[in-house]
Amino acid sequence: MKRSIAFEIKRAFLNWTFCAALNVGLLLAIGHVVMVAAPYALSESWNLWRSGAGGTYPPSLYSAWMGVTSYSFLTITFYFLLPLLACIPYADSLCTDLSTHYSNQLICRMGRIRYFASKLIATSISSISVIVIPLIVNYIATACFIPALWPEPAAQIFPASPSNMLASLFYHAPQTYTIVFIMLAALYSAAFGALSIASSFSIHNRFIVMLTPFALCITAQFVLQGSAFEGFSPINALSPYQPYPSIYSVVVAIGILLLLIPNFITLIKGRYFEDV
Amino acid sequence: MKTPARNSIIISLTMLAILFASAIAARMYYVNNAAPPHQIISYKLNDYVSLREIDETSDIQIASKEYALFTIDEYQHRFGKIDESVLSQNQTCDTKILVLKMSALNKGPQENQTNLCLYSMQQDAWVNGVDLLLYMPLNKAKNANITLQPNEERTVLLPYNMYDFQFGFNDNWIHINENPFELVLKTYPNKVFIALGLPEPTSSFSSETISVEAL
Amino acid sequence: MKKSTAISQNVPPPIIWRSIYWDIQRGFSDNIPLGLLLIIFIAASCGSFLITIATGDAASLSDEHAFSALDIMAYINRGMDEYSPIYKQIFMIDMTWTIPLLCIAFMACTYISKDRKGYSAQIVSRTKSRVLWLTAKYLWLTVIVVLFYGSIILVSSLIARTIGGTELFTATQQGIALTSLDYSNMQLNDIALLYILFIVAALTGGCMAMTLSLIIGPVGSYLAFIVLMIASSYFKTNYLFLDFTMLARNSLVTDEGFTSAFGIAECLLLAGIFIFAGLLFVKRTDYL
Repeated sequence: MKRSIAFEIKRAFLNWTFCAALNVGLLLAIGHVVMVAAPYALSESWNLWRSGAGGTYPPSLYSAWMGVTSYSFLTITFYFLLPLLACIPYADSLCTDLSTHYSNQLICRMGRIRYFASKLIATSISSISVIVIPLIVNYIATACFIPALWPEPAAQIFPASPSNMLASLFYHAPQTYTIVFIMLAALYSAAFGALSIASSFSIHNRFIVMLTPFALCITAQFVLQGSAFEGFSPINALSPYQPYPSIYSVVVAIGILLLLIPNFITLIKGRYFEDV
Repeated sequence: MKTPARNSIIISLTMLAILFASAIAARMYYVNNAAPPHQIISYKLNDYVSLREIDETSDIQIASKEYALFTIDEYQHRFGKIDESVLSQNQTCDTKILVLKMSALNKGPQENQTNLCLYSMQQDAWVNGVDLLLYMPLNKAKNANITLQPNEERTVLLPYNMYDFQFGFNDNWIHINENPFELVLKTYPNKVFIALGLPEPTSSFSSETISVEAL
Repeated sequence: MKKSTAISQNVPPPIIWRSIYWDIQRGFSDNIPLGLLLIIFIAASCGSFLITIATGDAASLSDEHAFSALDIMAYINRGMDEYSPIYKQIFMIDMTWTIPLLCIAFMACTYISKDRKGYSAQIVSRTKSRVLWLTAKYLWLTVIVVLFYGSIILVSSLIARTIGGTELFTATQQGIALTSLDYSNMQLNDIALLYILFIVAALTGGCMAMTLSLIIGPVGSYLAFIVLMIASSYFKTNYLFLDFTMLARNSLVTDEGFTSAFGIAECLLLAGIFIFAGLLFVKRTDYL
């Protein structure tokens, strides 16, 4: 099993689509540091704010990293593209393997369950990497420019309002809040990758397979728009700045279900897979 | 031979990674130390707080006396009818009004003016400022400023609105009376606040405001 | 012998029209699910409009309960107000504006990518013209976009004629209150020009997606389109042409908006550039 996982992980990471997706994420992350964090830290026009003049609270790491700047074009683009970026590296690999019958070669050598299980694991790891690495790079890079001033609700510059999930955690343990949301993004990225893999059995177009989670997220966003449950749409729920209220346990449960169901379907279908 | 070359690459990369991580850590340390140290200064209910903590020229001291949470009906029963235009905003959702009794004492030799409506009420992630539309009729004032003569102490009632929709799906609204509030006077560079504790029952809240004239 | 007016000197006219017709027909049949999705989208948007005026605040703001086709069209094509990051408010993308554009771009990208793997070799070898193959795609895209916006007008008119209770293309208080846009001064020719602008702008976006799909593949093209779309909604500038598909940023409803005539001219120019770039690229590519 270890060898098959290693083989799939090598295929997942040593390909140009992974590099391209990661580069897009890193471009957004580093661009955000250049456009938002660096001006806050270095620009003359923000000098007065940095000194806390007039009782205003200076920019803090917890109000300036990519996940919380809801007014930044780069943040919006990153979270909007998240379902697509997560699937670009390796989520269409099963579709490609099935259409080229390369899966037969691999199944002969490693067995059905091993093949599909290692495919799922490699896809999840590559999807998580493409999303989590840019977030961490942006967080660390922002921390190199802006001090980690403790968040204060009265300062009115921090994104967590009392209607947000884990708002209390944000003001008591902001690093933990950041880690929780990065892990939530990782969970959903893995789920999106798994969803693409599971859809490869019925959809034979690579592009459509890659786009399936994105299409579902957009549909959820459209259907829930304007309703009380708007915060549960994946694109809204994953954003640490949380534009709409939601419930943490429900968001996590949806993520786990989105991860488990496609995995389960893939393994069941894979167990009885025959390509004659 | 391959193995020593590969080992040297791994060692070099590891050393580079360690150097890079150290540089980042050093930079973060520098950035965080360059910011002024952040102290948290708290006071209790009935403590007199000098406004020199906020404004170095001020001779005024303030003290929070007591506070309670009222529903709209309780508020109107106790403090009088709320104007229709203000009420219509509050009637679209479940509303509570936090009323804080605060006194201001002028310890200086000259007449001084202060605005007690500048301070925010906070509980966990919730924060709000004084509702001026309620403040004016409640204190029979024309504006938020109060003028104090030397050694004059005056008490005012500060109303803060709380709405259920501010808490979304969280259950903080149900347990609103079970968590302490704080009155935040300043957030930066030091946090100065008055820890108000838990709200008292509305029945024991005394709405009389006192004005002690200068001697 | 009559001089051939075909795009390629070697291709007789009947084959050209047959090829274009067949490509368009094939495009429709291959994209039935998406076509249905767009129809469902129009129905859902109209339904949302009707539910909102029946139950929402707009009903209490206006004494009149009539609405017109223009109100429904304004509701669907409203888009977003200009966003200013200075105030640091949360920037939200309106899905009602986004979804048709995403669908159009998707159809443009997939049709190219599917064809490149299979049919293009057959079509090019039969018609002996790569340019014809791509031209048929752009024409198919034009038909799709015109049909989509035409459907919006048709469905809106049907609903307004049935239960609206007022002139088809007159602004009502219901619509103005619902969209928070004052389009009461719009005349019929303004509406016509506006819809031409929407069609041309969406078509330009589709041409861009199609051309990029030829060069960098469907995924890269779709990614670039989404980034352009988000940028267009975030920034208000003449250079981001997808702005022109929003009523809220048009000079008919806001003083600092884009004029329809300028938008049409710019989009036609850009569409021409994208089509030319695509045709140039396709002439150099071997599909066999």
